[in-house]
Amino acid sequence: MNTKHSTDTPYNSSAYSRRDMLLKSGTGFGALALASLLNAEKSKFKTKNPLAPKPSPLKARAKSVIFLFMEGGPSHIDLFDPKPLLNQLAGKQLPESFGTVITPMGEGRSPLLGSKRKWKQHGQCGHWISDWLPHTATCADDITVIRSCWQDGINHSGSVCQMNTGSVIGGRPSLGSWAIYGLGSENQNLPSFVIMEDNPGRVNNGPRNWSSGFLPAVYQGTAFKGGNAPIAHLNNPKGVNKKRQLEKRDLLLELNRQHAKKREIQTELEARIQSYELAFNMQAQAPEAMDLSSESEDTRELYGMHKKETATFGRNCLLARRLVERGVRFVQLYHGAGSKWDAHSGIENNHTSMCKSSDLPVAGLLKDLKRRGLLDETLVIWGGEFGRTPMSEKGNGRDHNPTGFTMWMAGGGVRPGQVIGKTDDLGLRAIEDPLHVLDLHATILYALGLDPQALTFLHKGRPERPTINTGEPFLPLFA
Amino acid sequence: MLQSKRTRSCTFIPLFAWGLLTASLHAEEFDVLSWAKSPLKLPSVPPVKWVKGENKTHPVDAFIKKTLEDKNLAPSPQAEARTLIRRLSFDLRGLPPEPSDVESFLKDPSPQAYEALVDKYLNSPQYGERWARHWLDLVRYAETDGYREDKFRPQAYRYRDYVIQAFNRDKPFDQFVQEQLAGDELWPESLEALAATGFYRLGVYEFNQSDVRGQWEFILDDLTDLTGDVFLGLATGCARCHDHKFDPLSQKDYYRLKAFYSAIIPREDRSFWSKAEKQRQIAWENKTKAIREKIEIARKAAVRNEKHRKIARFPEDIQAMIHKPVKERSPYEHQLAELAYRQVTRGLEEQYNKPKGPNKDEWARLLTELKKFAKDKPQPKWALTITDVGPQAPEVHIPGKSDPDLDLSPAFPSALTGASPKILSPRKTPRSTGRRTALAKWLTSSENSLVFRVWVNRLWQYHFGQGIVATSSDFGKLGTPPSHPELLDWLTFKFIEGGMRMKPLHKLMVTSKAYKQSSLVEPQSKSALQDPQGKWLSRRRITRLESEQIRDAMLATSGELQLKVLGPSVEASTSRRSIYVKVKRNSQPAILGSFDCPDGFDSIAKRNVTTTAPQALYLLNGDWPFQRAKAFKKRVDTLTQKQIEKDPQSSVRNLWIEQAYRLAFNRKPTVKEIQRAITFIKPTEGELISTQKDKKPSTISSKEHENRIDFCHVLLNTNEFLYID
Repeated sequence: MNTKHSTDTPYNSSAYSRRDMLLKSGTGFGALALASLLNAEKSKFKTKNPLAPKPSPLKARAKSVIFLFMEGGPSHIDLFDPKPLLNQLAGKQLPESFGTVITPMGEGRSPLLGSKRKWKQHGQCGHWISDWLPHTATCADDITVIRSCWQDGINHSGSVCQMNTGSVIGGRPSLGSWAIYGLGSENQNLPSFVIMEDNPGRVNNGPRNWSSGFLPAVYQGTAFKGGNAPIAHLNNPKGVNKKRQLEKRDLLLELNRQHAKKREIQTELEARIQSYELAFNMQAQAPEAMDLSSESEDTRELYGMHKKETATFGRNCLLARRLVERGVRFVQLYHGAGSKWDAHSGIENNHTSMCKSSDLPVAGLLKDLKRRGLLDETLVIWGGEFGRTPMSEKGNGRDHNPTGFTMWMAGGGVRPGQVIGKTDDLGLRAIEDPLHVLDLHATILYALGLDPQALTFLHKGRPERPTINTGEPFLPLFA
Repeated sequence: MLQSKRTRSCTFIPLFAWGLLTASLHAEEFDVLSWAKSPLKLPSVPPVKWVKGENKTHPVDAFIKKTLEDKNLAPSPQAEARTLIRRLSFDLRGLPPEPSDVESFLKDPSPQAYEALVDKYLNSPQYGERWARHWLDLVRYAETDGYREDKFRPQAYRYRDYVIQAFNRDKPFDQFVQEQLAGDELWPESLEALAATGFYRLGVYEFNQSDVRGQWEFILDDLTDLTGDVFLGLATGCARCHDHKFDPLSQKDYYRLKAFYSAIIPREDRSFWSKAEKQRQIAWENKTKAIREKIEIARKAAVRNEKHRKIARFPEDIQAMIHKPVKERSPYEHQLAELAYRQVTRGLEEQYNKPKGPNKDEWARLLTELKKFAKDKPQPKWALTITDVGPQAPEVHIPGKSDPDLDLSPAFPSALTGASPKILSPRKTPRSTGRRTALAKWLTSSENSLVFRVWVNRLWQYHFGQGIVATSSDFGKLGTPPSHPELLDWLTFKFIEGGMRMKPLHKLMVTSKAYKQSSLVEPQSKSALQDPQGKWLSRRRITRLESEQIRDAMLATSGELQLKVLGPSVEASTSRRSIYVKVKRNSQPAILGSFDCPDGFDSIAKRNVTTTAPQALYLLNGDWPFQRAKAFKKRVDTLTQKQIEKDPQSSVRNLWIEQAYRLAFNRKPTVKEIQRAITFIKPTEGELISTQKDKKPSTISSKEHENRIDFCHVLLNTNEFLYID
């Protein structure tokens, strides 16, 4: 990546070359512009489309990422990280040897809450997975569990922000933005960084989570809505039919071409002309990507779309597969958008229902990706912004625990079946191979073939890096 | 153990990046910082021979022409009149020119008429609305907390209004800076100066953060970073964790700069009511005293529980600070206790109107009674401000370092000056430390040429699209060398000499030939080939309108724009100027967010200019632009109707198209353009048969009405509308 300082606008994405314009001048808007885009790679004149696919500097293990974000913080000690000592000490205070703990609700001295789960080892690898996740358990041999995650925030907002951007303070680019900044997009007719929420519009921090921060807006994520118009402003204005829209497009093109004639050296004008062409292509392609009518009954059931409790997330998981199939680089699915995993009280009811609505779709996604040969090139990540405390809250819940929690990864070159890292005997803090969020981000970028230390963007006199100059890829994760 | 790992890796700079950086450093040996902080001398204006017929040399052009000649380049001719007025109007007011102004300027495009136009624009209230936004970008202005709830700050706008008025009144720059940094110490009686200290209250705030110590350090660090970004043009933030990698700024320098702020405490208790409002408030208080006292009794238990619940969430040391009597707290303890207690009060305020507990019914009844007097109570008016916590400032510490001999008292960055701050107890506010006054005075002392070069360079950048130092917030080692160092020095000297007022400097810049020259050059011209970026000013750079300008221009073109000035912020769906639209950190309105409007997390020296497909989708399919097209069409209809009454012989369609072009582009359409427009808006025979229900031949068919809307919509989407030559 380029660290040389820019002498122009901090970022000006409109650097399509004038030659492209000459290539297509004089003919109809749609056809030739599209042709030139399709031929961009063959053409000897290189475009500077900021989203053009770029070769990865390192070996790319994964082409795409699907990040399954369990928002609100799933309890690692009730799902993947069994702690026998917790049940022995249930009802007592955290032993002195654990030191003091700051939690948002001040539960540092509350009695420990035992886990009611039934634990079993699953698969050849023998992953411990609790009875809350029976379907994920059937994929045990495909996943690698990381028990030693940690991060800096103690509240949802900062922690969700950090899991997305690396920092608890807003304003930095999202991981997906860095990924497409580094690699571009394989499909110019779909957004390359897509977000879907099970409860649309509810996610903590809102659209800021997929903001490109100081990176140019071309790299920001696009939140898909449900229905056949997933992207904002995809449909013609009310009362404007297709024919009319095309006529408007033609008029606009003519006026813009006329305007550009005297301004040949201003390539950004041409870029804007092209941006309209891309917009029209998106209008055509996005609904196709979202149309599930070609999916078999069998596939739908695999994702749990036939059951009420799993239908919503199952649909999003299936769409995620369709998007990565079409070359979308980074897909983030929120489950429990609006901190629904946040079990400060009544963790039994809360997690029972949260697991029920996500477990089958998640397993379905892994199985479907695998049988289609897509799992090898797709890195699937599961986890929340933090875990939960061994201490109780309100008698039957758990507070936030950012100092030690579990995430898992599958596919994308990850050697499956491993258990990485360790928390202490109560699951409070990561004590072996601790992986900070920035280490996780570095690892994810590494899987995509990016070197997080070499990926830079000059901002306000500082070469900014996705993992804020720290964060190291955890190499033992990979095969 | 984990912490140490983070710190270690933070100092890691990959060899790869070092290579690139050092390579670029060697290529350009000019030391930007040494030059930028060196004392200002008035450079002599270079003697330039002008072409015959030009009787006066604009000094700005003399400097530019000299560089152009050195590069074997020539300036471009002056832009045509309608381009000039459009450029000037968007630049100084952020709006397209009024059609009447265009008409008179086209009739008389003389330099005198141009100058009169400059004066008119600089003296219009829209000038401050446009230029305040540049400052707001720098200070990362926003009106919400920026965390989960992203709570709106209804009183934040007072700072925005302060900035608008400062520009409109042409407040000297030193005063402008001093009011923001130390208004409470220097002019404690002035509400305006107090509103200016809103500067300290623009950052993010997390309402439920129980790590109070960490939260407070973040607030102070954030302000320290901001100081570097805005005033010094140096990325001081790097030195928070380690000595700066590229610039002579040590970690110690950072914490000594931070020490200027270590005594501040956020305040909201100064009322901004008028005398009459204050009297109304007193009257309301008297009338409702009995009821309110009863409510306090009724909610006593609930208050106690709420307080207890909220306080119990904090770590024990913080709880102890909260419980300590104010008099016994150290200044630092008081800062933390107050910061924590905000969370407690917030809960109490929320629950005042939600009766519960044993006296629930009584409490509810009293609330109903209290509500009867609501109309007598004036709207709350206050501002987000700060003062010092007291005459004694808490010490600052470098995290992880506990060297008792390390002096971290306030000091200016050692690389910038040898002077030590003279910190005196402020005459008018002895309960304040005077630290911020010392900082503000140093920053704005005319000897501090760095600060003034940085600021004048920014003004140049806003007018010309690129600063003389292109990296306008980075005058350090990674910054770019100035393209015209003597010009910047000369302008800066003039700025200080002229009393640090902005308007004369604007005028100096926009009346130069360099500003007025054309942007249109042939691809084979010297300008295009040898000055591809326009860095040497051999032509004007074309610019895309900024997000606010796009929104405002659409409203102005459609005739809907309301020019009401100042006041509380409004929704984006209104017709007020964009500067008055609520600035929400977590979610921006599509029209602003998609066109690179800053999100308020970070100081922005120069906005990104991106071109994306979602922008096109929004302008073409979004409801808001389509509604503007409808209003625009109506406005053109009305104007055409008026004209046809005067001149019944002319073609309605031609007149209509001319009006549309005039409003959107400030020019007449060509014959070819009229023909093309007619084919677009005139319904075909087939369409007329199927849709025409009107019997009278003179009326316009409903199909044509739709076509006209679509035509207006297309005009609002064109590059000619979105770009300025």
